[in-house]
Amino acid sequence: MKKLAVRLFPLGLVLLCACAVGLQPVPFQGVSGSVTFVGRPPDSTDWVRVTIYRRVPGNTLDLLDFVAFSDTLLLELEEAPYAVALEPGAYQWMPAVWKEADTPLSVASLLVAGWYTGGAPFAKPRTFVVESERETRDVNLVVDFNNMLTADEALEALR
Amino acid sequence: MSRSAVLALAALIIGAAPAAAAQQEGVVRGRVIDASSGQPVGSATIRVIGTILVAFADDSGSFQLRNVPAGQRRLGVERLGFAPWVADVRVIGGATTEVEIQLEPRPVALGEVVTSVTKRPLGTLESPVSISVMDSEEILLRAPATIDEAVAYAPAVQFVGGQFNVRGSSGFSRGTNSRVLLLMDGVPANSADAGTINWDMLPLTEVARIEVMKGAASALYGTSALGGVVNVVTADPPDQPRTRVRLRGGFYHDPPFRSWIWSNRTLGYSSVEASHGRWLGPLGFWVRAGSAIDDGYQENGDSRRTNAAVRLDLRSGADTVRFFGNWARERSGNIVVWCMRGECPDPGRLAFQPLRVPVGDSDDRNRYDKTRLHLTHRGRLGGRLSTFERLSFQRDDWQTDFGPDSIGSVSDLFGGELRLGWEQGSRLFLTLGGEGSYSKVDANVFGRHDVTSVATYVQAELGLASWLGLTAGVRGDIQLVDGGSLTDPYTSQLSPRIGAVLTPDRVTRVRASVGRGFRAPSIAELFSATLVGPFLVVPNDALRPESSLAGEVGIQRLLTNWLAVDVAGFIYEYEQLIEPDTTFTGEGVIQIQFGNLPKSMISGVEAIGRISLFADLLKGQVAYTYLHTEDKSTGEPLAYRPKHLLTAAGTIFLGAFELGADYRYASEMERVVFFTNPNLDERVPMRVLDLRLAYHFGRQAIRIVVDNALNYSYTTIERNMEPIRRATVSLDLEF
Repeated sequence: MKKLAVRLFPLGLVLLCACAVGLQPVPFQGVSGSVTFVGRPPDSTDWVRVTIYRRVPGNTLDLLDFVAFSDTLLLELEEAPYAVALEPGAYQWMPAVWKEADTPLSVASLLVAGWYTGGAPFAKPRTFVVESERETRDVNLVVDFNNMLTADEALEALR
Repeated sequence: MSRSAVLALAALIIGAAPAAAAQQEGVVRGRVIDASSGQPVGSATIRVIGTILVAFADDSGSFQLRNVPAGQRRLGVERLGFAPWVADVRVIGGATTEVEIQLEPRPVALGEVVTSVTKRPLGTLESPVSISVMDSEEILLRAPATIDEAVAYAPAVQFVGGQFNVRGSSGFSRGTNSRVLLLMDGVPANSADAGTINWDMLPLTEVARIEVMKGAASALYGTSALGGVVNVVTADPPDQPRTRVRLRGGFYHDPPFRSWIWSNRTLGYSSVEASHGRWLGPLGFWVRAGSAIDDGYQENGDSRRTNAAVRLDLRSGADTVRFFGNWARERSGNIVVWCMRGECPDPGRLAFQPLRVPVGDSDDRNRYDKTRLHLTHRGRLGGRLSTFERLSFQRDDWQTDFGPDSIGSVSDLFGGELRLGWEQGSRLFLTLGGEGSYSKVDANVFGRHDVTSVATYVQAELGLASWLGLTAGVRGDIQLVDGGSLTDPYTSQLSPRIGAVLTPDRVTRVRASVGRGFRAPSIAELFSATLVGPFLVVPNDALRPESSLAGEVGIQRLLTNWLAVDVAGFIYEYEQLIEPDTTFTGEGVIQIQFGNLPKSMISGVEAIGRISLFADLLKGQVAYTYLHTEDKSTGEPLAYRPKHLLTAAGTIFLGAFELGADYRYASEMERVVFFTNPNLDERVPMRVLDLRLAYHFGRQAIRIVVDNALNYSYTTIERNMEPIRRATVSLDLEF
């Protein structure tokens, strides 16, 4: 019995330790990249966020049909990273939205500062795809604080 | 207790007093040595059986018992690691009797001496309730920073979000209550406002032992002792001048996943403690001071702690006057929850970052100053009557800053106790006492309140036969909040308890007890009104006291010379248990209000095995606790209780080296109430392995300890990460 106890004690300890799988990071599933700023953000800036749409909007009502948006971008440097968790699928439009300070959140208080094109800020939108439990990286866009568009102007540019 | 029984006990006291006064007294002096090596054995407890006289052997094994009634007396000696020793000595009035006590080493010892069970020295073998004891060696074994880091290894206990649980008693209430009463040398020390325990103020290097009594103990201690009692017994001043210095330092390892690294520097901690003690004639004392700095393993988890303590003993004949003072200061960062996506200083990739706080919370700070003072006197009136008087004061002053807002509280508590002990031969010991306290709280989070409490208790210990001992007691408490009303039925509580210890043979003890426990709601539970992080706490001044009917049966048996087991079954039936009730407001705010659960229960089984093999080369302990908890109105388990608890410890002794490992397991919490996030359930079991190495040279020791060696990530409450791997070196010096 003594020998059995001596053998079982470390064996039990090893078995208990071997099963140790604790808290783990949740794999990121979504899109990430960086936003490059052209010009300086206006003094009246409240925030700038990356916003994601399944489809390119056709009218003002469609602008409210966004899927997700990023945290407030850091505006202190010339470039800011972003990441947005998303369900798997294709996303056709990803603009950067600027909001004016001290105004209620409405379409009138927002300007479109650029969108993902793979190139110039207001060229043809490019679609990106998010796969299950994968991160779609390097989806980079350019924000031009000198040429921000109202909602109507953005819709016009997208036609 | 019936009226006739009380009258009978009173008659015994009155009738026996003249005889006691006439009795002559003598002195018993001696030395305790190891029978196998002839070396002195320190810290042994020497009792005159059937009296309350007790002495502790010093480092040279010497002891002295004064005022021992003349005649044939039986001495009982107990020391961990040795077989109990009993012998008769003839005490001559006015003379000194010399004895030499030779203790036989016994690898697995069953008994130790405790004072929390009956408010006087009692062998654990004679205890009708389950009790775990840690001596000073075991406390320092794991190089802890504070006492709680040592207590966490006791069987059937667990810290849940920092809150101490004995057999699942307290659950988790965000620091607004405790169902475990902390005693410092028998004096209650929970804070007056929230009833919580401050472990960092305890004088780590000058603690002789920690007693963890399990189950309701309101029959002696009243409120807060609903789930158990922790008695921290400080060391006596040493017979020879002694200076101790303890240096401790270490660092935290990187978190197990690269994405959780939040600081690019090595996070560490260090502390220094020093104490000095000696006797100067009839005055014995020790003084101690310590300081600790910790970077913390989490963002905003840093702390700076300073504490100081003093104990003065003045002995004159059978009288001992003791002053104990303790002060502690803490400055630390405040962590409510870890950050989730959108709250972390991260572009948004992390679903959660368990080592960082939400943006904006990283400057939240805590300030906490604590003071505990008590003055006690122990004396004797004749040979059979002993007295104890106590005056105590405590202050808790804390503040937490949340950005521009802050919450805080200042609470003072004045307490007093008077106790008489009466022994009639070796068959009866009677304890009769009264206790009172007044506390006032001034807090922007609770308001201004005062609480007045008075209580009286009586306890009889009866030795009915050599194989059967009985303990019976009852305590009546009255507690008035803000004046209150005596006509309110909830202001008064009666807590009886009865216990028995059977000794069928030399290696077996059976214990059984049943009693009532209660806890009055804390000021924090009644009156908290604040918004802390995402939690909106709303008051409930209609809270009633909670109570329990607690029963336990246990058996302790030495199976072989190298294996001892202790198995206990327990059931606690609660009425009006106070638990947090949460409501989600829909704006990211969680509203918390404390309420009473009409009926609930905790039951379980606890099994402890202790082994010692190969002539003490290998010692170990395994303790398992099964818990079943239930809110009887819903059928759901009580929140923040695991179903299984396991601790295992093993140490190999190789000359001056000690090599050890500790393992702690707790199954995941069955139910949580503060965050029920369907996308992220962070409940995982606790699986912590610690490794330790010590080298002893003379009275010095150097220890290397790796806590959480597997760097296992776990939580005990939602959105709060428990410590990651860390390595500590401590140097214990004694001159």
